[in-house]
Amino acid sequence: MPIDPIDVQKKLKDIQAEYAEIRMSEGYSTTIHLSKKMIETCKVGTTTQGSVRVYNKGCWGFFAFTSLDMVDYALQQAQELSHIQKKENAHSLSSLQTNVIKELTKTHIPLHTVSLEEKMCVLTEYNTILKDSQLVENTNVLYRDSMTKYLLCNTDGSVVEYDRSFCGLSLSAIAKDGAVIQPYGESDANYGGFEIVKDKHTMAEEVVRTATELVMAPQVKSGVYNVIADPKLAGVFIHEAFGHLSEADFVYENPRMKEIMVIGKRFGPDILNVVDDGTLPYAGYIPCDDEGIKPAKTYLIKNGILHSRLHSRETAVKMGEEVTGNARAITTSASPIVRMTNTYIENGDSTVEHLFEKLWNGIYVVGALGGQTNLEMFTFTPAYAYEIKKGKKTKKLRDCMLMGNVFETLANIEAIANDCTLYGGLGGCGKQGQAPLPVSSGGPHILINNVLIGGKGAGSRKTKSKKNSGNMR
Amino acid sequence: MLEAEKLNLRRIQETCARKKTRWWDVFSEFAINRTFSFKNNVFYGVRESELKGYGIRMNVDGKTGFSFCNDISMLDSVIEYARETARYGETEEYELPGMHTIPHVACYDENIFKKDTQYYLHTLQSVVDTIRSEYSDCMVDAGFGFVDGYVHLVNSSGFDCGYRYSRQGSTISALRILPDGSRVQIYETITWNSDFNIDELVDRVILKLRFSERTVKMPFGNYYVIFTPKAFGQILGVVLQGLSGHSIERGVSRYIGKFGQKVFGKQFTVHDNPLIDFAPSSYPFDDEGVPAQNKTIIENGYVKNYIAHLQSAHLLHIQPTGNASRGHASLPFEKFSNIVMEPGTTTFQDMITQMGTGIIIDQFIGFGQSNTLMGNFSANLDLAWLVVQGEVKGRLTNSMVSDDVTTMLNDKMVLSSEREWGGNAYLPYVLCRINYSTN
Repeated sequence: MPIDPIDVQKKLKDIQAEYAEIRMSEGYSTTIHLSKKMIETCKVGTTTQGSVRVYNKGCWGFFAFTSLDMVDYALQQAQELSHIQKKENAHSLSSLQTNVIKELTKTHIPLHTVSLEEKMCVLTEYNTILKDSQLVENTNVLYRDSMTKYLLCNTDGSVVEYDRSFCGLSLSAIAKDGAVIQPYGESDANYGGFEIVKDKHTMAEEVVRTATELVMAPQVKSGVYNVIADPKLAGVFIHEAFGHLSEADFVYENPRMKEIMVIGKRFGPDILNVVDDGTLPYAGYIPCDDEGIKPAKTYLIKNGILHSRLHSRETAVKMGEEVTGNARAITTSASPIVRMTNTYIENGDSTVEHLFEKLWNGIYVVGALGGQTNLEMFTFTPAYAYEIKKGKKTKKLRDCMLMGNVFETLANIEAIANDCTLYGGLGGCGKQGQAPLPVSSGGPHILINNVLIGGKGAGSRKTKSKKNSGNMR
Repeated sequence: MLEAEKLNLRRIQETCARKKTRWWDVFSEFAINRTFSFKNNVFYGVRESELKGYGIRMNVDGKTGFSFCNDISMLDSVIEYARETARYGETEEYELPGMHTIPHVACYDENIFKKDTQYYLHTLQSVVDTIRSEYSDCMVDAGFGFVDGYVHLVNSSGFDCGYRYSRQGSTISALRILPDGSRVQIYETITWNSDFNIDELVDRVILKLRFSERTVKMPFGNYYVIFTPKAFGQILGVVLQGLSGHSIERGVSRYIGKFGQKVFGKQFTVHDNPLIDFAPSSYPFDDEGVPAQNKTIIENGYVKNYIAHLQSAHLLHIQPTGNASRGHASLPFEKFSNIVMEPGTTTFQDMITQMGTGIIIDQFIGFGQSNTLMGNFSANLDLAWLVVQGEVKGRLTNSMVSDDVTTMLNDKMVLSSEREWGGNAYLPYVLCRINYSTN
């Protein structure tokens, strides 16, 4: 069933609601997964879905569907659900912005021009490289693309039509040496065409080389270290350590959290600037959020001070702050919630060489397998690490995991380099069951003091904390 | 709605049967879901959704292709996509199961759907009020909802069967900021295919808030630890990783060469049982049509069995175990059903007393991020408490644990007589030793 924006907009005219939105999408996707021995998956498919969300007197009614001809029924149901309970003094969420946008992802090699055979051929080349080691027990080449027609109409008069093309690749190898089994992988993904995944032979070579080196490498010993994080891990760190804490839905109705996250409070050194910007052309790009609000460059931390936070309509209105265009949903059948887009640490005033000199002895953590936070503590997992002695990289280390208290760790940032880089990938961000949402994160190399690293055995305290910032106060 | 969808299925079946294939199957799912939610102590909204989808797998000239849709009008295109992808698919020589005797298991309780809106609102309000009557500064989020679902599988070998399932679930999150600025957030969740007692969840939340009233410190070291059933569920995930046909066939299971050997403590017995009435992962047949069966995975510490779907069973020359899982948009993969661990004889309270000084762990952060393929793990402690001389002293923060499951789950581990359901696992409290680090 083709989606007609004029028809959809008309449906909102007679709705009894303070605010309502209809989102619908039709998508066509391809997934290919090759392993060392076989073709695990080769599938194409279509997905149609949508939802209606209605707000009345502080109550949300939401109805999601997979048959686009259910939109009238969904409107009726969502309206009914929004009347289940009324709240006194509920805020109005309407008349915030009207945006009429029609956008098409720019591609150099449009996905529809690349046959399944061509895709298989390129991916098989990467798999051949990954398999080219006696130590590699298994490989994974995962390719995913999607072409989606997206429509949002809301009662503010916004109409967003977005023909979205997304393409990504993940390459990994599992090396085995005796009883040691070591995976390593890299990924790249973005809005665009097949050009995003072409010519990744060097990435495949790097993956197999690193996996086979790591399987021979010693494990990191648990302990407290001063560390340098590379741009990829610096990005995961700031996403986990502060990005999630800046999402206003964690704060907006909690009086104690509002006291802790008060604008103007110091969270890091003067050199620290943290930004979320959905207008940048990385995996977190959005022409408009899922409530019809345009994204913006939002400083979360400016000169070490809490500057602003990420908002949906609801959190912005309730906190009396500006909307930032950060209400995002993983699909049109999921509710928009406050999410990051492209989040990064801005360049500092040091060089990378200067950071290593300053560290002298410690750990250099490289790449990122993932991260998680509970808004007080965080965990992030580098792909691997190096021991640093007298300012130089020495042996490679495997199985490293970093953890810390968000506030202490931000305060323990000692120096920031000037080589900011952003990364996306086929994985993404997860929150409230919505994953993986495309985001990017990054930053320059950063030097952090007193980070707890988990690895082999119970280690000993190596460095004493120079600063004592404490918990959220 | 169900009748209309059955007609759609007939149409797909007839269309597939006309195509030249070695075999085919169609997996379809339909579900209606409604969830009521409270956020920050007050009613927030209601979410309702309707899901349907069809996944079509076709083996053409020995190679398997797959496609999916959720709009029946796309049927002809999707069947062609399945045929096209088969050109690039893997050679698969196994056969699909035909019609057979379906084991009985209760998956559907219509009583779930007889409750009105006021019941859900009243129940959730009561959850919030009960927790806040103990801790008035607590911010409570709570959700309560149900699913009315149906899955149907039809294939070219004559299998043609579906079953209806009900599911009811609740999640409670309670957040406090302590005077020292530390943040305590407790999550409790339950899913069951029939009614359950939500008050038990509330009691658990209040007990854990009580344990967390103070923040305490403990130095680095190797300590006794009690994992709650919720925390042990994540440890068990590391234990069971590698006990699938897929990982064994690919050579990345650490259990290769260890079947029949004693790897864990003698108290350790784990079953995979999809035939428990109303349990969250119960089903009469798996998503490839293989009958569900109860099996012992680990017995008295000996690694006995692993799970296998049709493809890996064929490659490994064993019988499929009835553990294929899929959604309409995915190919089958191997998945444990209800994990049931045999209990011990010591009560949880006696465990705390016996432990003397040690840690109780309830929630991790980032548990799955370490390289767990060899059974090692490192995890940040989200919710853990220090016990001294059998008394809970307070919550440990800024700390982590690292160990490997084989060393940890040895003959000295102690299992509680009580068990709790968490997700699809029915587990006891587990006492053992662990490496603890802090900054």
